[in-house]
Amino acid sequence: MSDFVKKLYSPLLFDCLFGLAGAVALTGVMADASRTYPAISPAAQPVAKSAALIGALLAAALMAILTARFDQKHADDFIFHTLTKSAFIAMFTTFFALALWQALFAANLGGVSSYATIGMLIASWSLSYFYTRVRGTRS
Amino acid sequence: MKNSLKVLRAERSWSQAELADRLNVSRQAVNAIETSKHDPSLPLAFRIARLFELPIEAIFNDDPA
Repeated sequence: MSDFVKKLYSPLLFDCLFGLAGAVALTGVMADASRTYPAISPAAQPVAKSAALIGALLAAALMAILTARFDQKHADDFIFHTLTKSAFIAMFTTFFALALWQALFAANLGGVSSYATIGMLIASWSLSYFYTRVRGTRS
Repeated sequence: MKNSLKVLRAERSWSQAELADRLNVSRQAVNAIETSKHDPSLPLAFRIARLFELPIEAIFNDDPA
């Protein structure tokens, strides 16, 4: 492992990144609550929109696969397991939180924007990262 | 999974950082394995076994009792 890559995957650097990202994401989610968004209008070309969405999904998936492969190759065992386990927890935390929101609060308090959804995902990844970092990958 | 990494390291008077360097992992990874907060992957378990010149089952014990 080269010195640069070793430093790039240092646990302390990830601690700083997740701490910062979590704080920014939580602040963003709170700030987003007071913003108004225009309603999403129906697509003029629904087929083109669907095709573009699927294309974007496939391109993003390919990028994520390559990134995960790079991470697995260069990050050390503990950090890679911490990252993947916390990402898994964060994904389900966000799904469940959005489902709960939709079922209990959306009618009275309004919907959740896509920006807030991304903020929730990053914030929950940050929280679950620190939980896994402290309690270990077996927790 | 229990392991005797800490004892083996102490027998050689290595610090966690020194062992981490020899295994090409972070010091935090060594600490997490020693405190049983993380089970190493098979490739890392083999590297540990090779470093201490012991079979894997002499270092790691998956007996729940």
